[in-house]
Amino acid sequence: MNEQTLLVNAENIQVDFKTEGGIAQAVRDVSFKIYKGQTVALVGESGSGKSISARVLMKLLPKSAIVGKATRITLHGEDMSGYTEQDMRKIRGKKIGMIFQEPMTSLNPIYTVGDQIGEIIREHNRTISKQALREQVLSLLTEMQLPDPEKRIDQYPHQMSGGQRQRVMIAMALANKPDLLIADEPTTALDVTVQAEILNLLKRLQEKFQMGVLLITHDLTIVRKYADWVYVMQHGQVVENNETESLFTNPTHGYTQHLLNSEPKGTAPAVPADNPILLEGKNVQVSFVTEPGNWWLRRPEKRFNAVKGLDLTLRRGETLGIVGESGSGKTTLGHAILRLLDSEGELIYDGMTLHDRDRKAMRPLRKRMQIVFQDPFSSLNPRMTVRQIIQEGMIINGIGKDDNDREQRAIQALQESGLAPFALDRFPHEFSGGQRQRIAIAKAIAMEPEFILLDEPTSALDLSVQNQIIQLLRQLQQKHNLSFLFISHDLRVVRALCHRIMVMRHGDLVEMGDTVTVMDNPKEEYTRRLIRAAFEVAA
Amino acid sequence: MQSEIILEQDPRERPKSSDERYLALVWRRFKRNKLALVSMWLILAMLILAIFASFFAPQDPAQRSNEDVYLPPQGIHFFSEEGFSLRPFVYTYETTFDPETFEAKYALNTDKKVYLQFFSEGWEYNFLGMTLNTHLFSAQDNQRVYLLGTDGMGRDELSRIFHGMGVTLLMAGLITTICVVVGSLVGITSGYLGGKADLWIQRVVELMLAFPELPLYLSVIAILPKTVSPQTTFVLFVLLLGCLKWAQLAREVRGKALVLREMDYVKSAIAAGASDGRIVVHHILPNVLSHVIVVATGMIPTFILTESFLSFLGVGVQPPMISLGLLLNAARDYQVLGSYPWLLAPVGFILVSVLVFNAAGDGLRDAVDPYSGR
Repeated sequence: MNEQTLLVNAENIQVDFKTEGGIAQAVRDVSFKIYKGQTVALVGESGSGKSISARVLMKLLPKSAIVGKATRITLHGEDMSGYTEQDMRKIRGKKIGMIFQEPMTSLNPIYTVGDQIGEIIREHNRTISKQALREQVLSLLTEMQLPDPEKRIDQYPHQMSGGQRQRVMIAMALANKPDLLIADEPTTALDVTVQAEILNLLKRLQEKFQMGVLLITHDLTIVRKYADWVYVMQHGQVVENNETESLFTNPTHGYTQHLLNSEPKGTAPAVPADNPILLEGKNVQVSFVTEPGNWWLRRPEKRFNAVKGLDLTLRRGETLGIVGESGSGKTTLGHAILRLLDSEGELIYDGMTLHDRDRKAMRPLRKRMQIVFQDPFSSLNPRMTVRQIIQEGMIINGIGKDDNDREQRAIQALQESGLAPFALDRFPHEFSGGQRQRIAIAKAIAMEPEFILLDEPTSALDLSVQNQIIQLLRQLQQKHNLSFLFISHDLRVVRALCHRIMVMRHGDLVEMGDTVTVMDNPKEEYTRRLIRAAFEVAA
Repeated sequence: MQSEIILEQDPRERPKSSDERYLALVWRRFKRNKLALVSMWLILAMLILAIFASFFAPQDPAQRSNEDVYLPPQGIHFFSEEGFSLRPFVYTYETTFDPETFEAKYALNTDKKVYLQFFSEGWEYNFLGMTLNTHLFSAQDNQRVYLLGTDGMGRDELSRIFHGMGVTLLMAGLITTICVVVGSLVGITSGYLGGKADLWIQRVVELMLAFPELPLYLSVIAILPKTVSPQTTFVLFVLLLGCLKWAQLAREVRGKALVLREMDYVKSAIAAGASDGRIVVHHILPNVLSHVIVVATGMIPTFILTESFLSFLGVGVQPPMISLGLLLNAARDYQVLGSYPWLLAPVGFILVSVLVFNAAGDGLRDAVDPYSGR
């Protein structure tokens, strides 16, 4: 590695933030080197300072940031510390390109993608002719393997899928053939199958242009496959750095070992076969009105079928995983089972029909069925204390004799979820994502339900936190003989937690069966692709 | 577990996470805006002035005096030829008339000093059922002092402004209360229910927004019999404005409620079996309240202006009630205005009250959402 030319040498990066309460340290003394043609990964959990370290290179920090005096960054051996905003403008896009996590918001919705890419080229080359510019953009889009580039160049961002938009973002970042590409969680917002395509594209482009790539991610499987050198960050410091293979085979620092161990492992313990069936769905269908009908024009309303006639069964103490890409209808199905959405077909819960119950008639059943949402930031009311949040369900359903009893139950639910009772008096915003998800789980189990719908409960969380939540769910299931319906796109988590899985696509069932059977021996091509994307990126 | 320990300890220096309550957070952020802070104290001062107007007023605002017609403001003095006097005093004016133009001429009579006395007894007034006669200040020996001059009937302008401010602020406050209550209720109902109900409620809201208000006030005042009491006109005025001005707030609250309705915590409450009433009270209302408070602070100055405007035209508050707008009504004549410019003094009070409410509203707007961004 060392015989290659040094591209970036960052030493002693230190960043503080001015906040209301005083100065908050974000990055303490981080140094890294990037060589030409090398992929360097910054790995760490959210809040570890990895994104901020990368943005220092571009001088793209918010106004409240204070960069430490000892920070020294050289690009091609040239010290960047004295660069003004004007100098940086010449470097951004020309020498350093950057792609962001969210392809939906990084593109301007009112310009065509061709215009947006062209603007970046023209910014650094004012004399280029219109014709030449278009040709250059076209060849870039072809390079990005965007299907039908002639047509795509005149399209607007909203006409494209997430993966296609991310390709456009990459085209913008690479428009001027930069020496360094900073990729900040480039695939986190994308479906698993698309992730692999984008990463392979990046790899190929890197080899072709001999760029240095700074890859920022929390996903270790991606790092293992694509990075040459890894810096592991924790609490604003680099705790370990090494060549990728040696780091993975022989991690020395405790935190690295912890990270590597937090891959979800194991499979769910078997359920006794004579456990009674708790939930049964027959030919469940959900459709949404996309265009209201017009009585005057005799035009019927247009409907979109999100779930097209599915059968499912769930036994007591069992976990059924529902797997699929975004838009496959899995969340819709889950909400229909809890009667948060209207559906057709039969739903039977513990011998009682659900499908003919309205909201009022559902009320006696509510305490037996609970839900945990994906995003712990929007599922807890910001104006309620944790006590109010946890006790709300008890008050509604008349659980607990008096306030004292409810208090005890709330404390017990919190403790079972791994939080201390002092949390009761606090508001949700005082907790981290993982802790909030624990509060959401505490809220659900405080009602002592038999069935919990888990709607991607781990996908907004860091890997090691994910693992803790999975273990927590396993413990709770065994302790209370709970049944889970586990909705997820992450097959690794599903494998660790579910007894059986259902693979969904476009509202249809693709495949269903024992988790181990389906995972090891998938019958359908779609399932194979999902599994490949989830596990083989790692291989 | 050892791994837990590795995770929990973050050695980076961080300002202590505060376990402040919502109001404390709002207050801390509000304090950072110095202009808003000053405005808030001014609002408080204005309210005190308005509530205890009779105590602060040196003269009975309804007391006429034939000798003191159109007297200019008297300045407060501490120095005279005899030197410094700790007690402030004023000089009296002597009025003469130009024999040709009959224009009034005022000459300051510096021979005669009228000393001011504080916490003195004066005209009687009613406060909370008590009959009191203590005033902040008045002139000694039953003489009169006019710090802001007098009007065409010899009534003290300053005392009238203090009393008028109370009526104006009360009116703005009442109208705002009606608008906030009606607007929030309609907005939340419309946004939370959605569907057909939302559709129809929004059409009503649009009707309210499109309603030509001015012709309505004018016609209502026109059809009122002359004998009707000023109090009735006042109440009618409040009700009319209150009924017409809630629509904008209802729109904004509806928009908020539409967003909140789709939040996961609302779905989670439905999944726990909560009734609509509970969801509205516990989940929607607290989350729109901050917005409503901000809008309400912004509404008050617009109503102060509306009141002044309509009373100035003579269709708002009717005498013998006093309001800031009605006081300006006396200055609507060009000739009067040219000769007696002190009658414009209420404009200053209107300006100040509108400005302070706007500034305080701005400060609140930035402060009420402490959880959203830094």
